[in-house]
Amino acid sequence: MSGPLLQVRAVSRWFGGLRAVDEVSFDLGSHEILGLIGPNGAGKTTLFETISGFIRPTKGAVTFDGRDITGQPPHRLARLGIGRTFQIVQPFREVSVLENVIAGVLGPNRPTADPRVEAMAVLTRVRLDHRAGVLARNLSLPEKKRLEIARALATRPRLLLLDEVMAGLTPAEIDEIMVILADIRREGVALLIVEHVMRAIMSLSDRLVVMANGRKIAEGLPAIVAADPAVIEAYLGRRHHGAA
Amino acid sequence: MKSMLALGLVVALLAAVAPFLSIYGQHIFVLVALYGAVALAWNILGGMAGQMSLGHALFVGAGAYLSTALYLNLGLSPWIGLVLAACLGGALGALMGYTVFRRKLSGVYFALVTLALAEMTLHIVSNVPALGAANGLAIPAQPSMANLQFASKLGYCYVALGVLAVVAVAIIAIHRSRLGYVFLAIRENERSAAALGIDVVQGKVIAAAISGALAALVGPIYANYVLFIDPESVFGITLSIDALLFSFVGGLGSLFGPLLGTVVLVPLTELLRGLLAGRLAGIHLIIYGVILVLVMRLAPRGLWGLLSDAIARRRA
Amino acid sequence: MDLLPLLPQALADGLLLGAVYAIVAVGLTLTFGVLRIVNFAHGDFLALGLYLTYLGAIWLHLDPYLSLVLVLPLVTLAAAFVYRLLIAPIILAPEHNQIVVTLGLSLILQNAMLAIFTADLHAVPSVLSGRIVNIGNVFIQAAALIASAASIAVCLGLYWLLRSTELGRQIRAAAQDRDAALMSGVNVDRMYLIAFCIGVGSLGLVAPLIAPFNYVSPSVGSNFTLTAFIVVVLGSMGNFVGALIGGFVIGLVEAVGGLLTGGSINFIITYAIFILFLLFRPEGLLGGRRL
Repeated sequence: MSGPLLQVRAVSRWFGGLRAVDEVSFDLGSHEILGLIGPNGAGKTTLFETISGFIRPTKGAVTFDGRDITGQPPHRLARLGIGRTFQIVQPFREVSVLENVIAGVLGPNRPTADPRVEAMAVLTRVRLDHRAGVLARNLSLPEKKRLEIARALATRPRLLLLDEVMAGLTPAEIDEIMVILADIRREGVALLIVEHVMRAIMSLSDRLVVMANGRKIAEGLPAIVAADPAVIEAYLGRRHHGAA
Repeated sequence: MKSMLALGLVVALLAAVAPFLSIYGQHIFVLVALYGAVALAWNILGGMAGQMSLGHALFVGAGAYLSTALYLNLGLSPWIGLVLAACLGGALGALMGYTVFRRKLSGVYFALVTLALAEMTLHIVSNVPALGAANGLAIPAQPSMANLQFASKLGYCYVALGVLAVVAVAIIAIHRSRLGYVFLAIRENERSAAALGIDVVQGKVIAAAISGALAALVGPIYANYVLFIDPESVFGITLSIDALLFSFVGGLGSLFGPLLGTVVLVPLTELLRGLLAGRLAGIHLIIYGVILVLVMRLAPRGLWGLLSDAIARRRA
Repeated sequence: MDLLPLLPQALADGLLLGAVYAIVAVGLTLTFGVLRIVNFAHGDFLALGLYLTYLGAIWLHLDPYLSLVLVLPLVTLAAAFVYRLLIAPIILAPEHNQIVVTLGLSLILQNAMLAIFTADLHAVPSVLSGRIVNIGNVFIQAAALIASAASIAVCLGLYWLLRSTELGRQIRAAAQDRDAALMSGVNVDRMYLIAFCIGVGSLGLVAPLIAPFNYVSPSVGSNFTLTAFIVVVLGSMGNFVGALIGGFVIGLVEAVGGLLTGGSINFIITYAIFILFLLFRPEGLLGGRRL
């Protein structure tokens, strides 16, 4: 595997006069977990939307596995191997957990031997197989989060974008997700994670990218980034010591 | 394959029962089968894919006029007219879908566009002398298989049942294929659908094309049953609203709810018409309106939803 | 056939027709354009007002310009009743709920009027019935002239109401961002109710004004409902001056189109314009907020 899996090159997104994302660049390797952090309003979500195809960047380029995917629509990116979850989980409420995941299996329009079997395998990976027949709207929040991950996994991504997947979970539930994500990485999926739950992203990530006011202000190993005065000033500071 | 077998059984049963119905009963049979087919076809776009059309009469009328005009002018058998009607309906649906959905028009705007398209077509046809203008087209009664005309109502029962079966087969086939999941995802959450690799616009266009093609099949059958069509009867908003109404009352999200709604409401309407003998015009429409409002407020998943809830409770 | 001498009359007819379309549509501009409430029964409230005006004439021998005083509050009351009973409970529900519920309401209203009054056309006698004003070689119905003046006044009045009054400010706040408005103390429910009543109740003003030159029939409603939606989209959603302009455009298109082609071609043109605008210029003639 030559070259990084994902290359973000000087991506900018302006809304009128507001520079929500300003010349952000970084690479992601094919077996990496990259954490994207920063205070609220730093532009992380906008950058996410740009990489996952829901918003076109005003300037800059995004490359995936060597090919230029700038401005490509989300469904094409999914078929190329980029999956994502959404911050506000929205499962297909009126059908079962299994059907939700089958939708993920069939979505990219790839040939499959048996969608049900494949979907059950994915559900097993996220420890949701015992809830396969339950209607999605009857799930608890942590279960819905895992369903969200399962559905994205079902599309057989090589890169999974996770948008604040730990938000609203208890520490025990966060630990569960962390185990699942570590398993996913072990199976060969790269992860780009936006997160506010500090302890989770610090221990999961191989590297961190820190954004503030639309710009990248730091990049590197979590321990080093955490000690960067610019980062502390922008964001971490007192919060890191007591963060959960 | 279980559903196909079940369908086959139901069709066989209905086919066996038809000869024993009275003439009036057979008339109701034909109406229920035809309206049911339109409602089921509407539901593919409206219920399965979540895009509510208020102008589905466009497809029925297109099918009816195409088949009838070809028969009257070129002597073309309505059986061929049926196939051509489906092609026209499908093409119209695809064209409409492609122009509308690409602009990201949905919800009430899509409903308004479909309404305007149907009304516009009604007025256009009303002004085309070759299509009979506002007076419509009459088909001379010449019962024969080739003309898709039958001396007794029984023949029409079977043909109408056939169209209904075709629509039902299409629905079952969609449901168990990837397309069924595509429609489901689009209906539930378009953003999530896109993130799962689904081309949302393409999915909607396919839904519109299939829905239009199947609805158009009803046109030629209706035309040859009544032996007369005019713009108001096949392009009119009443028909469009009926499709929507039967689907809602029967159960929007389900596969065959619309048929249930048709089975309940069409005989009810005929009964009312019989009882009131046209004295109080429009009473059945008032009742439709009341039922629609009540269903929306009290039982949004329609009769089918009520039934499945009752069965689930019985099991628990 | 030389149509040119007939053009001024067609233009006059078009402007007057357009003014009627505008005053019918302006209420929808408020309920749909601003509040985003889908009400397919809008035109049926107009029909209701017309029948009330008719009853006022045959039971109380009131001229429409007098029965206005009764019809306006009655229609507004009906609007309030409908809002509380049908719309308020589903205001936050998916859009198709409103479409279906108001379609049901439209069926009920239209056919109730059909059942009670039959499909016969009725004319409402008025002191101004048949009174014609002559400008050059153009003939204008005096009642239509009054209705047009009222139309301009109502459109500008609603524009002023929404822009420059406290009530208008609150309505706009409630419509734009429900949660933010709630937090700043706006009674969102009440604002919606008031705005809906103004929007639909305005038809209680329109009905007596157009009764002297419009037949009363149950299907008046559906004719006007679709045209009202067209005018609202054409005039840019939520834009009251736009409703006036949109109304005039449609009126002129129909009148001049009718002159040039005869027959119901004019409806076809109107619908075609509507579809084209939705597809290619959904922000309407005056631009601004997109759909």
